[in-house]
Amino acid sequence: MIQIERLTYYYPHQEEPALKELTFTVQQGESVGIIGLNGAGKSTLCYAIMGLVPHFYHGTISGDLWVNGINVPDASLGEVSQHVGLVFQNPLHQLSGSKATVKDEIAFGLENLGMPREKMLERIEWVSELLGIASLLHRNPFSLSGGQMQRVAIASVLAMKPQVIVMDEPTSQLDPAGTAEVFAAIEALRKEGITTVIVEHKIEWLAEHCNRIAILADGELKAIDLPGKVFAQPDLHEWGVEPPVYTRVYQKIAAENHSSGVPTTLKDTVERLKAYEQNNQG
Amino acid sequence: MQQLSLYIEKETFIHQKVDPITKLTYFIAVTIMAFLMPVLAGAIILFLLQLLLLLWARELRRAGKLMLGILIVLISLFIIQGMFHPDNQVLLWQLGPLRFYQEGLMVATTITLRMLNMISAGALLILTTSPNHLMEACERRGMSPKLGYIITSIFQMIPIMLRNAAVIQQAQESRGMNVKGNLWRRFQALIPLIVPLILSSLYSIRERAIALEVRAFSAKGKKSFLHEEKILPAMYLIRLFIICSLAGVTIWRVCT
Repeated sequence: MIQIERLTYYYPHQEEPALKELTFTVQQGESVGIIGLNGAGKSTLCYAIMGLVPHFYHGTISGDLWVNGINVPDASLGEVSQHVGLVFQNPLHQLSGSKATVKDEIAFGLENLGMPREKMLERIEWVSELLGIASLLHRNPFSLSGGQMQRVAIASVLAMKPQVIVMDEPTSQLDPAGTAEVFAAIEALRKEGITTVIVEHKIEWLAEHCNRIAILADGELKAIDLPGKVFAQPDLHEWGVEPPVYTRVYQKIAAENHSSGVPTTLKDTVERLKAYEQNNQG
Repeated sequence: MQQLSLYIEKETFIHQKVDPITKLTYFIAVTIMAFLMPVLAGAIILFLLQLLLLLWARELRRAGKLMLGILIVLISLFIIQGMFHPDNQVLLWQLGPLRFYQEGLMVATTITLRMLNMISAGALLILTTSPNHLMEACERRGMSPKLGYIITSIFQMIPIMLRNAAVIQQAQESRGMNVKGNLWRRFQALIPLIVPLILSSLYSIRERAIALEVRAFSAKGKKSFLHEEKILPAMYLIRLFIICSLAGVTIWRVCT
């Protein structure tokens, strides 16, 4: 679905590359979380997958980036937008600002594509059911809570049925309830078989909802693997990454060989600690 | 959230059944007629018709408030024209040194009726029509979607900017900025308010521009619309009547 090979990108007038020789693939229906320090190149990677790099931000790009069979750097932004959707940090900035209801807001992109009305209504119904926003359809999008607004923003992108949705810190401006709402939406996308790439600092949530985790540091891909394997890496601190709190608790209590991976969710941690306790008692 | 638009949805015939293009046609025609009307009685009849329509739309009170907004202008107009119009000859009444003449007051009345006709026709349009529906109707008839977007987004964006400005002001006040005092102090307080507001607005514009691109805003090809355009057959007759009325007034003006 997403195939990246030796991707290097320089922003205009910059001597240091924002992305250095990145190589990895994401399979269809997979959910990949991207973590790393600020300035590691996470957002730039999102923009590259979306085609905003280099079409919007310009600069110099080399290597290959294929999404759904399209070579993104060579394709137009309009072409890429039919395959990839992008969700930003601040839901307030990604609503069109010209529509008075959530229903009209979701239809905005579909109208631009010239989609027939009946098909638009089907898409709106599908996406609002999927993301649990059917009751909000007649509300003004700017009168919603942060979590609701972000779900509307995701719905607006999802309604265009992209095969890939890239999210750049979609919960950074949300409270815990809003974060839970957005990750419930991400889970719904995953069940629907939509490929998602999520940049996020809330590692516990990523570990629970992503198939794989990638770590970026200084524009380089340091690791990409199952959450349990990635967070068992000894170099995490060097890359500026802390493992999930559950993993740290486990590591404190059961500081042993973690070559088989570490637990990254509350449920796994409890199970592993129970097993550890039984072994010790035995 | 507070809306900038003056439109409030009401269950009246004019709100629900008269389509935006018919209202726009009416507004344009009445504005032109207000200037072309050759006799004062015609302008008065036109204004009375507008009041009746506003009453039917249950918007007379709000339209009245809009008209009151130009009350000072109208009073000044009557004083200046009544006293100093160059054609003044027939003294109508005198109040101490103030002398009001018939010719000047007639000119002031004509201008007043023109303004009131324009405002009431405009009120009928903006108080009974959602800006989104109006722009959508215009886009269907060939107006650029980008222009339509600019106009409709203003109605949402200005309240958001005002809300951001209030947040920035509170943040600056909490850090000791004094917004009260003389004019110079108030002016000084504007700088720490305006700079972050402009910077944050520029940032949000960039992000919104990307978000619009992601949602195919620049896509080539014909746009479609979620809402069906329902125009009653009678509306075509009303439009024809409005255009004929405008033509009639124009001919009347040319012939007199």
